[in-house]
Amino acid sequence: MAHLHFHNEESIRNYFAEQLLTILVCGLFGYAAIQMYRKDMLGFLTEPFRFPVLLGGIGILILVLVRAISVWREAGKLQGLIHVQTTGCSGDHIHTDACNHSIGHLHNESDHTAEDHLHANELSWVFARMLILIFPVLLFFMGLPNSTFSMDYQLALAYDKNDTVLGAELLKELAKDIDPTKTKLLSPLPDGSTVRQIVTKTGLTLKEITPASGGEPRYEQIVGEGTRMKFNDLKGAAFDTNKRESLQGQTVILEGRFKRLGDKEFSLFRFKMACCAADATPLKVRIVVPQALSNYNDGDWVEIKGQVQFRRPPGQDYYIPIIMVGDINDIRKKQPLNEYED
Amino acid sequence: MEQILNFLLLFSSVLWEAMPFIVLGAVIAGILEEFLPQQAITKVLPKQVIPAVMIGAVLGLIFPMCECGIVVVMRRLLRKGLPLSCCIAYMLAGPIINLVVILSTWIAFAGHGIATEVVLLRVSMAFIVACTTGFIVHWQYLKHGNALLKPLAIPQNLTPLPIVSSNDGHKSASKTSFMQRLSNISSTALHDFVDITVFLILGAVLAALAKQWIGAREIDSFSQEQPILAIPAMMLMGFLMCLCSEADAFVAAQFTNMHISAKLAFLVLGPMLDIKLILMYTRVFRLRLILTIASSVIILVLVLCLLVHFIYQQNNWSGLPPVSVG
Repeated sequence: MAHLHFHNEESIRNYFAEQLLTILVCGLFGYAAIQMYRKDMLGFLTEPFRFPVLLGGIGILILVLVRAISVWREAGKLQGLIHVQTTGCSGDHIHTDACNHSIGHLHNESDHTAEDHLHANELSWVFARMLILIFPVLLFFMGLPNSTFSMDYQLALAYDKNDTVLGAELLKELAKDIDPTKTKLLSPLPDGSTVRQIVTKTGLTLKEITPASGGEPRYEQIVGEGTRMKFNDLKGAAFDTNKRESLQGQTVILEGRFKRLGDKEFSLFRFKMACCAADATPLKVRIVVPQALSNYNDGDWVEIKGQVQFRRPPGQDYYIPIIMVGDINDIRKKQPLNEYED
Repeated sequence: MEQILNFLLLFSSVLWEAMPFIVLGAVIAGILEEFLPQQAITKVLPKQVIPAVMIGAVLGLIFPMCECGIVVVMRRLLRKGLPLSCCIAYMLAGPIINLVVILSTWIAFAGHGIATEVVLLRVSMAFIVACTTGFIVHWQYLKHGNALLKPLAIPQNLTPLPIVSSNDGHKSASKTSFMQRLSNISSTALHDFVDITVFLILGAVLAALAKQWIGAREIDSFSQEQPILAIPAMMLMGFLMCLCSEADAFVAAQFTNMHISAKLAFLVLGPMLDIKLILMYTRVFRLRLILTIASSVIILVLVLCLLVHFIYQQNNWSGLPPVSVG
């Protein structure tokens, strides 16, 4: 059963050319996989998918090594034989394997049987496959891909026609509906304005300043220390009545990319992967600020602090997370974070 | 230039995500090829088609593989004499009906409160689709025989000579050294790895091109307006996105406003049929068989998902994560 049989010298040469090429290219492929893991170039995969790449690379290298040793031994045994019809060189795998390559034919496969041998055009098919296989390896040597999408693409992903501006009057609107049990009188201002601390039904803590002369009160937020939040938690809470109620009114700190929607309103967004960059989706939080902002551009990394609210956008039946910023000094530029939230 | 970089990023993420599982599949394929005696499985399997196919569909519980690795393993099993119908059922259902994927699906939807129904529906739909397709393929195999397969996938020893071959197997088993076996395994594994990875790369290129043209958000908002049309839309998504079956549940869960029927369409079709899988199938099956599998899977998934949608409507179940109602 065990036989390695060739019709002529050319098939031997083709067989070994093919084996050596496979060993070389697969070796490079495995090396690239390992190096991509070691050099932290797998930012486009989520954590659980990175380690398998290392294992896969090691796996390929082991296969390549074993293969290289056995091809070396075959070559040694074949040395000196010119017109080979020989048997028993190295077990039947060579037979199957060498013959399998006839399967590689793109055309007219039916008239090739398992007994077929390597032909010149099969070698060219081998070359074509190796060229395809080397493509990701070349990318690796070029330091590609980047782990993030281009800014335009990100902004395009973050854009949504349903993102309508909530409006500058949001604070006044929320202040209409307060929880009377939580109202406290604070000391009046020097100009005689009365000051009350009020808490809205949505948990927003405000300072209501009514001028002594009467007239429209104005509102300022009372913003506490703030805890760091993840986009994912805010987004998740938007879909859960209980979580919405426990989160609203809390002061949070959030860091992400800036996307302007209006004078006093913008989206803060950051991407999240489920498994890899191919499924990255932007997580967005609406930010409402008390004064017009000018010195921020789309895509800038900014950190903000404010009170969390949840609200239905006009005409929608779901809630979006909103952060009401009390003071524009609570917004500042930051060093970029990892593009993808954990 | 930026578009090219985006393309390369999409391409790389599909490729490197799947690569380790192809290596795993190739190594298993090499071991199967070397150690599993020809026709051994056929002796264990029931002779009747129906139970055999059903066993094939739940084989994933014993041999868990995701969809990239399973094509490689399945091809070797086919060569070892496992009936084609059985292989198809294993190949289609294996990436869904295995503990890893069941668990990841459950985790993905646990936060949405619909984990149990998604897991149960996903598994049972996968089972039905895989078995039915297996039967259809069986019927076609009776008509066309091995002409449906690529030479490498054709079972060896079509006329088994039990005594001679077992004798031969014994002799060679005692003769082959450990190094020889290792060499054989590496040879098969490396061959299969190259063979399938080439098509994975081509599939990843197509998937990355397609991904640049479709946005998940369009489909999400579309699905709110047209819940029924969301089913074929999500099937298309599953086909184009080429995600690993171990992770696709997390993607489906992101479509929070989408009816469960459309999510199932994505979760059942994706692991059975996508761009990269079609290209990988070309290394095992001929065009006629690929068309049979594809049309059978597409029609069945569509019909079953519509049925689920209809049942949910009849009973006034929301089919949405309950939290979004409040």
